[in-house]
Amino acid sequence: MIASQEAVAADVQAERSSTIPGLREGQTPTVLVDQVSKWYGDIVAVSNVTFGVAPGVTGLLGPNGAGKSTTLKMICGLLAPSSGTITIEGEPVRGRPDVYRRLGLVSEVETIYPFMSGREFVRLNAELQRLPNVDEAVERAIAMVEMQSAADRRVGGYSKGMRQRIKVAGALVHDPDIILMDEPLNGTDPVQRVQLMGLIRQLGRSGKTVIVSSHVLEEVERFAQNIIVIVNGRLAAVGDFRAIRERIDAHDREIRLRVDKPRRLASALIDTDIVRAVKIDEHDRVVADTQDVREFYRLVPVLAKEHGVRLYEVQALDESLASVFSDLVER
Amino acid sequence: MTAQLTVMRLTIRQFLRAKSVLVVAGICAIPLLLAVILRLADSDMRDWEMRDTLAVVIFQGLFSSTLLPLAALVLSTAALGDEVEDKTLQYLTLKPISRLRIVLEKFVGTLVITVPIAWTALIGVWLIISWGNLEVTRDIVWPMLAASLAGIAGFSGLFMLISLVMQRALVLGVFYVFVWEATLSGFLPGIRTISIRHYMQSIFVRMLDDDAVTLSNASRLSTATITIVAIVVISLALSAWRLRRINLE
Repeated sequence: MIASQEAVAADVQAERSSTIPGLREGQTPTVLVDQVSKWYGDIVAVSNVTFGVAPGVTGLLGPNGAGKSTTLKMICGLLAPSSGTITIEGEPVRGRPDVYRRLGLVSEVETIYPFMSGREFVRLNAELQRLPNVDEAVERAIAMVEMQSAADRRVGGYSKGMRQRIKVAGALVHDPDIILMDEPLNGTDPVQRVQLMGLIRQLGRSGKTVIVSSHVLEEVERFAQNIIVIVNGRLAAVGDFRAIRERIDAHDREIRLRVDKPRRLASALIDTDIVRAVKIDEHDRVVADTQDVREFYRLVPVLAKEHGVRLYEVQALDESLASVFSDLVER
Repeated sequence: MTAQLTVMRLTIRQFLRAKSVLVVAGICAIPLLLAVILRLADSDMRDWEMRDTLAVVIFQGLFSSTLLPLAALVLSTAALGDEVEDKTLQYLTLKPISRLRIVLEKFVGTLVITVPIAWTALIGVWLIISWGNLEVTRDIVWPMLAASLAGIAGFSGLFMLISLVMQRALVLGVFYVFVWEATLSGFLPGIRTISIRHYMQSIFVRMLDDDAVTLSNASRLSTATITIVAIVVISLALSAWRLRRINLE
């Protein structure tokens, strides 16, 4: 009798998961956001969002102010939803401190107790987690973010990238199964970025459920198999990154390039098939409108080399990404 | 054991590096300054003048009525309020520890800093006022220390709660100290019964048991003690309740 009830429950769960955005058929969600809204007076920050997240890395993508941070804060219980429910492994989060044994948050908050060293901050997190072997856990976490050499310096003197990495160490010190990261790559230099992205991929491969928010599409592509796109507080797209990427790539994107000879590169770009328009902005930077971002990224260094142009910076403009996201919502 | 006091140790470190401790030390230094001035003005105080100056003028009239509530206000509103404001509170709340424990350790951390500063000031005042004849006023010291401990605990618990309920807790606290405690409770007998200062001073006069040091409608020692303990317990319980429901942006 009990076995039959369990079978029915499993069937119901499997049937339900096939209808929950973000989950494949039969998948059990680690994190379930069910018809969640959050509003402040007349302002709606998140509007009736439903999705499930399973183990692996999921990118929470959207332009600045889309509601990504609010969603993450609701998932980890810092904010109460105005309506709807959020569960982690079937349990509600708010008012359940025990959930935090399995959950780690790398928040967008930049402030860390400035009088502490990096090691002391990670140790604070370990002690509050009541870990049996604090010293070992602290050293392991610091090594994960490669901060051994700076761990004894005051956090107040850290660069933004170092603060991000020590926050990651603090969030991972108790080896949680569910990790939420709010724009963890903000302020990191290219080397730190590569290191952190490797760590995120490694966490996903080890079976942990990792949700990473970002407003940079190309960044998310490097570590997430699944993405959830949020625009203006609404769910715009959920699912496999490649499928959504194809939809996104169907739109024109504006890419800004900082080079030493902007006019020479602009004229080379306009001669290609993938660039619709090129202009030089007030800071002498090239702004190109392309319908094939991937090919554009492949072609730019080749053209620069051919025409003797030195390339300093390539940046996708957020405004153009925002319009792409908006189109996804309208579909 | 040490791990269980992590929040308390953090609170103490935060206070020792904050300007607010200097403000509290400055507030508590005022009676020391007054004591020096009074002794310089009258270097040949008689026994009863020493007792009156220490117990009535300085402790009842200045320290317990205004300075102690202000000192407690500055640190207790910062204990949790500052963490809400600079958004570091989430480093504590996103951990598998009860909200009551966070509040309790923050409260004890506040007392660990405030009480020694207040007691040092009071002992200093006693030494200055009674210099050369300490025996005359020795019996006033313990009631002063006990009453100030009760007062700091009561005010700290209340102000910590206020800091979780509203953003400008310091402003409301100053209003409470000067308008409610220092003015209204002096004129309106009904308000007196819900004044922490009244119970703190009741503890002082009942412990001292000196006919020359009185308080109008003083509560019994047991009543005053139980009331302050109740204020602390209720304030901390409400703070923990509030911490469970607070939205941290």
